[in-house]
Amino acid sequence: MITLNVNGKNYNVDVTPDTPLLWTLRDNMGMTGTKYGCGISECGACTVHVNGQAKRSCVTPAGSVVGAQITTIEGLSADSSHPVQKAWIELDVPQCGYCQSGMIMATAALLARKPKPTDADIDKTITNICRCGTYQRIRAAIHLAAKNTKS
Amino acid sequence: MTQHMEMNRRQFVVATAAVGGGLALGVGEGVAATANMMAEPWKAPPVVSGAEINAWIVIAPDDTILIRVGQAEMGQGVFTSMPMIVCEELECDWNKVKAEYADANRDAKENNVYKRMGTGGSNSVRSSREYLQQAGASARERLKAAAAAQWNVPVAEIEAKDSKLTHKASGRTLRYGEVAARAALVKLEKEPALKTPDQYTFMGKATVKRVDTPLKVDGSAVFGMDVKLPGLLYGAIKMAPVFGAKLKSFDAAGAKARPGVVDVVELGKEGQSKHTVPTYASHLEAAVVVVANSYWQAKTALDAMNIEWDEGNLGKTSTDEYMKQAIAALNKEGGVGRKDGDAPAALKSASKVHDFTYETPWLEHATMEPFNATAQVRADRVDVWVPTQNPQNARLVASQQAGVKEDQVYVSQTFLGGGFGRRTVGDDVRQAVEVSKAMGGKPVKVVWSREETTRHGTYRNFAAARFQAALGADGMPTAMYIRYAGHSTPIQRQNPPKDNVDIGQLRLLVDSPYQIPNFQIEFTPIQTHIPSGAYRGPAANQNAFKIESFVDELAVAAGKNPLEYRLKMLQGYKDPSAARLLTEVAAKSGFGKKLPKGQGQGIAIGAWPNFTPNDGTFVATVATVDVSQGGEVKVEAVDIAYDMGNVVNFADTTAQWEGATAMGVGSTLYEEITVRNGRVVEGNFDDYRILRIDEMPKVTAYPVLSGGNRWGGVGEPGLVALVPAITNAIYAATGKRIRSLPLKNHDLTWS
Repeated sequence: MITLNVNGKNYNVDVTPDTPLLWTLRDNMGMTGTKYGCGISECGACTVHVNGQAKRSCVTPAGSVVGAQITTIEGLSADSSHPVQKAWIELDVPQCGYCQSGMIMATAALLARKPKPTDADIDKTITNICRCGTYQRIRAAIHLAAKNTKS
Repeated sequence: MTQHMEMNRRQFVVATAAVGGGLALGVGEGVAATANMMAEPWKAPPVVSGAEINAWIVIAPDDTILIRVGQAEMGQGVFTSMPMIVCEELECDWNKVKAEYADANRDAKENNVYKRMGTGGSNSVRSSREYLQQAGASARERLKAAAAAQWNVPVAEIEAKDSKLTHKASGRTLRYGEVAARAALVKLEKEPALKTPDQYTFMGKATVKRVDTPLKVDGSAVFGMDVKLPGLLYGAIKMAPVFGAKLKSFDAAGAKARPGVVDVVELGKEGQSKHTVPTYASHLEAAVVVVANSYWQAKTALDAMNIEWDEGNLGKTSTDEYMKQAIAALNKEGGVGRKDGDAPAALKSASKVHDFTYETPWLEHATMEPFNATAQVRADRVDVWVPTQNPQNARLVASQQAGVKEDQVYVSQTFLGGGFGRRTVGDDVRQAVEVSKAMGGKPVKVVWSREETTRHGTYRNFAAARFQAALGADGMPTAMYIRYAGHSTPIQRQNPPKDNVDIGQLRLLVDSPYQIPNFQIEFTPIQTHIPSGAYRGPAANQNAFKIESFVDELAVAAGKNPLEYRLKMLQGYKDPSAARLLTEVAAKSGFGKKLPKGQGQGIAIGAWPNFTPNDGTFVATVATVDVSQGGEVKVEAVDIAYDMGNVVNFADTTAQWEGATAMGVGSTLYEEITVRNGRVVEGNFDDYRILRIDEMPKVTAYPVLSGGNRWGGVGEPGLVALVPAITNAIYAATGKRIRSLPLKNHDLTWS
């Protein structure tokens, strides 16, 4: 049994400490917004925030984040009012949508660190995979979210 | 038009949730702030005491309109485009439209009331538009008839608009919700005529935001992976690494001793697969499934298990060997797919024959959502939750495997984390049903790892094609002779095609719009043990590369501009759209402008599903590339001119061109499935590389629509002309001609 702080609440979860945070969130805590895509930290569909930093939860042992503040897509905002979510809605970014939780979490972490990212910043930081190929709109939505974020 | 009403209680339907059986937990339910559908898309949004006008449309007293969607949502926006078609005729207020999936069980019980529920071939609009317009038009006329009866005025004096019925002469109005219950009882003597595109006020006019977006930005959209059920068990699966191999032995006891493991199930035993269609991929492949209380417990127990397989001779096969067979087959005659004039004789008498061979590899769909399905099998009822492109096929597969009637199968169709043709087969459903059976009817979700997903695909098939041509004094082709060898399009490992010609695999060649007096095409099937299947633009996605590369080579040999050369080859073709698109895309992209060495533009034309004059989608593409001296390729821009006749929603249409471009640039640069020792080498995104954001070109799509009755699809054609546009651009940039894919296998350095 370990205790995790997710979206501002403490949860006691019955997993071994080496269980990936991804599967702990999904199967043990019922938070399925965080997605499994590759299991080897390649695709970013499982991106969450750990103490504000983007982290790929498929290779993060649950035991390693005890005591940390974990934020998932479910906790990014209560009502999709985060500037990144609003920009995503404004530009209708998602197609199938499976990768988009990870994209949004990676973007939110980037903007928190760098409120006005350049295209080069985006290229370097947003390394998540989208098979539907929504990259053009993701880039536009990142710039839109940056514009709409009060610094 | 006259009409009469009859009371029929059954026509009053209270539309509530849970067509799928009401088993799901409360988690994930609830409509997000602005989503007009449920996170579990097979469930109806709360619509209070609505009247069902027909199987597609329910209208509630508060004017909420529920529209059922009979196509799969895998990124293309059908929850928006399909209701838009209904709404065009229904003349309803779009802001009050809600959507849910049509129910495949009801379809079984009510004589195929939802018609074509399989999604593929870029056919959602092409195939369902007429009957959805009809459903909307019929409902509108019945609403008008109900109002006319209430006011005792001729129905012709009633106007329907924005969910309101108006009698102008007397100034009276009624809301749809006020007459819906009575409209449901109206029987029309004659179905109304449909609007023609020139009469549309909504389709192709408004840019409509997607209904499903809010669910896809807060993590609430439920994909197959996300299905939650009371007592749900998780199965991790390992299939035969060599396609068709048998299971020899495995250590079930060791796995069962591990924490959380409930059982170990063997699949693929003799007689266990109850398939009726002899296709490879819908069989139960030999496999071991560890069933546990969580996926991670199941997967780690499976990974620790020692499994032995009997590979027979299949373990000696390779993609290299199959490609060699295909190339060797190009030296002999095949089954004839097209014969105009006498190309072989014309080549024999020519002073010079241009003779090149082009090769295309197997490709994996690489849907972002790994494969999975959930099933619960009880004596008289089978439930399946699955991200399927075809719930009717899922229903059939489940009924076969469980031994129940189709109307006893309930398919809860989830959101799909990508489809691209892979989620049409039902192999996922068959496994889940069999595992639930083995577990005494408990609900089980069978999850494929990314590696299993990559290594057990129904791949884009491979092919090699030899192109020969002779040119006349004016440099234009007098003869073209194509020999084509490859795997057949359908998923059939066992059976070669009829007469040895697979016309579907010769798409864009047998129907080529180029005017050549002597034109012959032959096909030789190469049977392999590697399953292949539908893949975003089957055959077209590789044949455009072959013929458009060859035409480019001929233009160079003739010393002509590749655009002018194509336009001349199209002279006399029955559909002017082809030439118009080339001209348009050349103008928009500045094709032919002077660029420094290392940069280049390539042009190409394509179609989906075929070059059928005045039908389907035609597309012309210009790619602008930059090749560094070190040989690194960056596709900088992709300009697309397209003619799909008419468009329902430009927002989604544009998104499809953008997305297909990303997929096609990635496949051109990197993608290839390799088989060695009978098994797929690539397993995950580290060795099967997908395009990422830093490599995304700037995509601009220009509609050049010919209107009329032409309706093309948009999911697939974006992968067609794109590929040769890129490789022709690489030639323009470097002088290096690409005759096989992907580009990662080529040395593109220059100095």
